[in-house]
Amino acid sequence: MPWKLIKLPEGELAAPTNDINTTAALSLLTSISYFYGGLKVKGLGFFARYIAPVPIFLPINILEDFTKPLSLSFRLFGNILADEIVVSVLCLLVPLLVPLPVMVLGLFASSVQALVFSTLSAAYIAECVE
Amino acid sequence: MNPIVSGASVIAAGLAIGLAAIGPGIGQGTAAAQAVEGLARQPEAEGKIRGTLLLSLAFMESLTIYGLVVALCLLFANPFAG
Repeated sequence: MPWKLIKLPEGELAAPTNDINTTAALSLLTSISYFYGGLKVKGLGFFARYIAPVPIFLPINILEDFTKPLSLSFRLFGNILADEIVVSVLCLLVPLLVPLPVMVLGLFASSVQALVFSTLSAAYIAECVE
Repeated sequence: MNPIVSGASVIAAGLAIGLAAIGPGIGQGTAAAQAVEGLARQPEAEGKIRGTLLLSLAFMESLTIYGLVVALCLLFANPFAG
């Protein structure tokens, strides 16, 4: 009897974004994109955004340049890795039917995270190009 | 690993994720409540309300994820080990 219906490929089947390096690379891409977009459209006037709306905001705006890629990468990494850890722990404990709802939740959460990442990247780029 | 360091790391990991879940939990509950109220007022705006709600929930969720990342780092990639 063909108990094994499908043959799994060799190697890892987990998501590539369960590693902080992948998500950090993606968010740095976004960072570079909005810098490039802003510099291309506005030239050196791009740096006027650091003292907008009030010059007292300068340290906050500089910090924002660091926290934007940080939050983007952490959000995606945390969501994907958390679901994978829960699924692997459940598969260790009760492999039969219990991991399935968590896997479905993971599907939903990862699609939401994809939406959020792309929306935020578009918003950052638009904010710098306006 | 030094037993004090491992003990402290475990307690810190538990506290990190536990405390990080409080604020966003309250915030997400409030956001969902307001979304449901808006839906009750204008049922034809369901698509927009749902989209905005999901986006806002993801933002709030990311704050808990920061705490989770700290907890995971302490448990699996502890910089104070050894």
